[in-house]
Amino acid sequence: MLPHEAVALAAIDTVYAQEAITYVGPGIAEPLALTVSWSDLQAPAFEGYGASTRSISCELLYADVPEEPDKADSRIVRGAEVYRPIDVTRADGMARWIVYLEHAEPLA
Amino acid sequence: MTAVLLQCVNEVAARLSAIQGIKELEIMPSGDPAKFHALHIFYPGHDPSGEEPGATRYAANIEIVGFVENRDGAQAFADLAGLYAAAVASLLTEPPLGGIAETINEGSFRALTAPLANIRRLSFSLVLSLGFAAKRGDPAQPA
Repeated sequence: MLPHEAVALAAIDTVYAQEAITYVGPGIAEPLALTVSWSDLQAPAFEGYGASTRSISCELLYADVPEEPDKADSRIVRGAEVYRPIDVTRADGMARWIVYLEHAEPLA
Repeated sequence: MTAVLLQCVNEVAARLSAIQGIKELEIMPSGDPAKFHALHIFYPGHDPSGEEPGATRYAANIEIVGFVENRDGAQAFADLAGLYAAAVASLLTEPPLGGIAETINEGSFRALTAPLANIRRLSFSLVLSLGFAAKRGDPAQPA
């Protein structure tokens, strides 16, 4: 990442990484309180004419979580909702995981 | 009189609505289901398959689309498979559709997962081939 890109990304995070979540996952002993960028968009087209599913994702900085988020062992809590990763992208250019989420039960 | 094709679709709907766990059933819906399990019925059309004195025979397809949601993906697929099996069992009986149709047969089955969705929603599409007859020149009258 070029220096001016890092400055721009930090500015974007300052504005958009405002969503309070709690994260549990590999390498973390206790639930971790974070503020992250949160996205809630119309999901890709699916069977039928409607478009009632959403694509929810958030960005977890490498600096904030010690290991790659895991579908089985990671959970994100936002408000009263618990989410599980369904798709994890390693975005080295932005030093973060982009994690797509679905509603889930809490870890046992 | 009710067109024979509509009699067929109504009979399919009546049978599918009796399946345990069905929360929503619609004919020719233009949007997604709101409650799950859901079944949607589409009648894409038919073609004449034969003419004989006084009667026209038709070859039609009826598409059944089933939807389930479950936070457990494996259970969602188990639910989907169960819904498919129940739909087939309710529809492929003799005489076909209680005698309204002449033939009904199972066609292609396709299952899908809603991509990158916030909830594990699965669907299937089941195409049934249907043969029925009506009075020549009057599709509302049985042959």
